[in-house]
Amino acid sequence: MTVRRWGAGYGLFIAGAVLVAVVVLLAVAAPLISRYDPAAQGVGPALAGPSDEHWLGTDRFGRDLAARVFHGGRTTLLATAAALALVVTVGTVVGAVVAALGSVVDRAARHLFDLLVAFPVMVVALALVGLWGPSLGTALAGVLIVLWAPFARLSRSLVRSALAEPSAVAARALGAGRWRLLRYEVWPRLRGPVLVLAAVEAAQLIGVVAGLSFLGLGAQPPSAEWGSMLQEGRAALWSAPHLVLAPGVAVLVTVLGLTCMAEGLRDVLDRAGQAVPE
Amino acid sequence: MIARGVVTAAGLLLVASVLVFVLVRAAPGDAVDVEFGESGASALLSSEEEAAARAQRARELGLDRSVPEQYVRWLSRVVRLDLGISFRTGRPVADELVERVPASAALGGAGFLVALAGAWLIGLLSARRPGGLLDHVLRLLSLAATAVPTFLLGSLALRYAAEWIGYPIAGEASWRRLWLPAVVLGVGAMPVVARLLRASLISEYGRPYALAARARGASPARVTFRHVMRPAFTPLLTLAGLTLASLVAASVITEVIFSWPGVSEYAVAAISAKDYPVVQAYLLLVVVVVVVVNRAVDVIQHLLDPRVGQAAEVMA
Repeated sequence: MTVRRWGAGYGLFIAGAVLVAVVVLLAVAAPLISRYDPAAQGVGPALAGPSDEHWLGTDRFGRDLAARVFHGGRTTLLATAAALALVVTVGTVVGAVVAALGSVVDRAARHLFDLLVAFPVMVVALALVGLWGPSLGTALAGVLIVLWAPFARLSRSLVRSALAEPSAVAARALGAGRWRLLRYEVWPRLRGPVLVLAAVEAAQLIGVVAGLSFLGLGAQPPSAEWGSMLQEGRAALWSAPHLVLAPGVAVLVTVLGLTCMAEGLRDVLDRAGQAVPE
Repeated sequence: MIARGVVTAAGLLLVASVLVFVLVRAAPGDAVDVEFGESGASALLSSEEEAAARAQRARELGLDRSVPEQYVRWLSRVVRLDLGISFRTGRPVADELVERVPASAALGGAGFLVALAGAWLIGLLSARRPGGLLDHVLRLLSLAATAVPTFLLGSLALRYAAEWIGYPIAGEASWRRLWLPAVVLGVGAMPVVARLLRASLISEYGRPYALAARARGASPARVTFRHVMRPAFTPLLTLAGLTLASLVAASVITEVIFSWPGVSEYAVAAISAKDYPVVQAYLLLVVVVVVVVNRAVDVIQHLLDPRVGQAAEVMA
């Protein structure tokens, strides 16, 4: 049993979790690690490459890139975490309620979820930015409009199957109330797959918001945020590619960590015979 | 079956059209604000005159009617492909979009082919010995490929390809310019496709007919290419629906980076210029493509293999 628990999936999950933890730690401890103020201009020569003084080089205003990447992680990660908490909660609750209601509501909702799930998040976010004007908040809102649907779809199908399990039917026959069923029959079958999906969607969320910002449609300069740094770097792609590379790699590492977590967890669930989301 | 697919698609499109309408209506500033803001007419008029002119214009545009009535009028125009006039170019939005569809379709199609070819190779290699070293290595590579953001891969590919092999960074849509964005697009979509093909190959290898072929003395290569390949590729159709959303999303970034004259590039330029009719038309176009492709995939799957739908029905 122990051997099985510590299979390949666990290792991958831990590796991903460590990556994410390192990124979070660097962001949290940003003021302690970097010697420079992320907003201070002219702390070094403009557009210099990496050196001992400036680990990741400097941008066009002579600001320290390392300080900006570490500090920028705070905004990016915090916004992502808040947005994710919102969609996970809303989606899971909506899916569970719909499954509990059943009949026509359930069937109509299923089609709506399918429609929203099939829809590219990027495009909705683009449209919202087009209508409201570019900002990090608008870009996030655009993502949130669609991103709750995958959770709703997953939780709907998991709640339905959990309630149909013999143990759940038996519990109900023995007089278990709604909350008892939810706590002991539904929740244990729900949490693993929801966590996998949360990691997958967190990765997507970060990618989409960073991509929008890269196009100048998300977070706006001069705030130190990965997206806005990407946008500033894009203008200097030819003369100083490290301006895109620094925040780009930060996004890459975070997304990689989240992807590994999802993939590892998927293996673990798979081995435990639980449902695994796409 | 086909009739049911069409009805579902129509229903979904109707729901989606309401969502789009609400989204567009909820945006700050209506068509009148935009007109008066754009032309700068307000500077020449007194405030009462301007208010009267605004009310007059709002009546002409039908903005004084009830919201459901406005929706019906809007929908009837949309159905007739009257998507309004672009603020920027003064041309009908529908015409401009149609001109750009071929370039986007070419890029998306080429990207899908790249993804398919790469995934085919990865799938074959990793399904040979599931859990083996090669399988693990390829899986880690796939994970890494999923994690690389499109904008990073795209902008670095553009920069270094231009510097090292003289890739043309601007110009008309041409074959010479197509391959690089297609590769960038394909790499992003590859892992999902590869995962599906791998799983499908492994399950086919385990079936009695494949074992029987091996027992008769067919070489592994023969079993793979003569027996297993075709059935393993039947889920290919699902892929079209599965990768569509990610291809569309990635093509937004890719088209802009490579200045590829497609629909998404047009939409991004319009967004920066606050060209509302274009934004709305782009959203509608993507809605229609997504719904139609997904429904079509569903229907074709039913026709090819009636069991698919039943299984999905039971699981749902």
